[in-house]
Amino acid sequence: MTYLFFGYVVIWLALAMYLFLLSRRADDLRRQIAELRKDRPAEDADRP
Amino acid sequence: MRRTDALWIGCLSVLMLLSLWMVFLYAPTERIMGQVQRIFYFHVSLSFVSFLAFAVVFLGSLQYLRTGREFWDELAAASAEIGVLFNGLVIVTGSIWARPTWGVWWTWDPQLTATLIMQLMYMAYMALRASAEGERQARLAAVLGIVSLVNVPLVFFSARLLRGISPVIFTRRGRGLEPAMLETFLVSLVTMLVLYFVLTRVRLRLGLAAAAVARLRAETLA
Repeated sequence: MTYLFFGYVVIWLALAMYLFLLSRRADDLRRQIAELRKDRPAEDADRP
Repeated sequence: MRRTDALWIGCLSVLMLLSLWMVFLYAPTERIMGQVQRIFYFHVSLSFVSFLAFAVVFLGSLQYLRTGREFWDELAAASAEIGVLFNGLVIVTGSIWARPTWGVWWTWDPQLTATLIMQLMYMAYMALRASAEGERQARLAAVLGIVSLVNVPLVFFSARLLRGISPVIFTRRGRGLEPAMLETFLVSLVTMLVLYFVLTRVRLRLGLAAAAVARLRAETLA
């Protein structure tokens, strides 16, 4: 039973870690987009 | 969150709960291996879906070399990442299953060795992608993505053609599973397929957005 428990714990932990990694990448991307907006305010102002 | 995303995540949650219920409560306990055999349902499903992920890397790489479109390159990258995650889980859960069944964490059985080689090749593919940026790097990675597919049939047929201790469950003569076990396996397989689809979708969108941001940044700096 212990091995079965660890087998499934490993799967859930790995999936949770991967989702965390993806969310960090998305946050990083949002930060980069915000920086770009600051650098290109004139072009952004043209957009509706 | 888009409506279709919410729909996919809802569908995945229901399937995940259903497959966990089937794995732990519906499927009967295997006579010889006992409770630990329940690792099989996710272990084999993850293995089959990692084959699919690597087939998508092959197709994406091939299409990228043919058309030069960024979409295919990013699709191959997304699928490779999730394939490596799934195949890594196959190796780890296989090892956890092997300890009480075979008495060892690892043995150089043909299928296990082929699975490890496949994992290392796709990790090399990811390392190559991470090492540099640009079209040349993408093309080199695409070639490696195409060549690496040779591992998939090697892993699949190694247990059938070479003498090892890995069991062969699905053969031409019939399935070595009783109906409740087969149903549980099929639900687990569908769950892992949907999980692969959802993760690839998210990872692909992130990859395409990151590439667009990198382009804009280069334009701003120029």
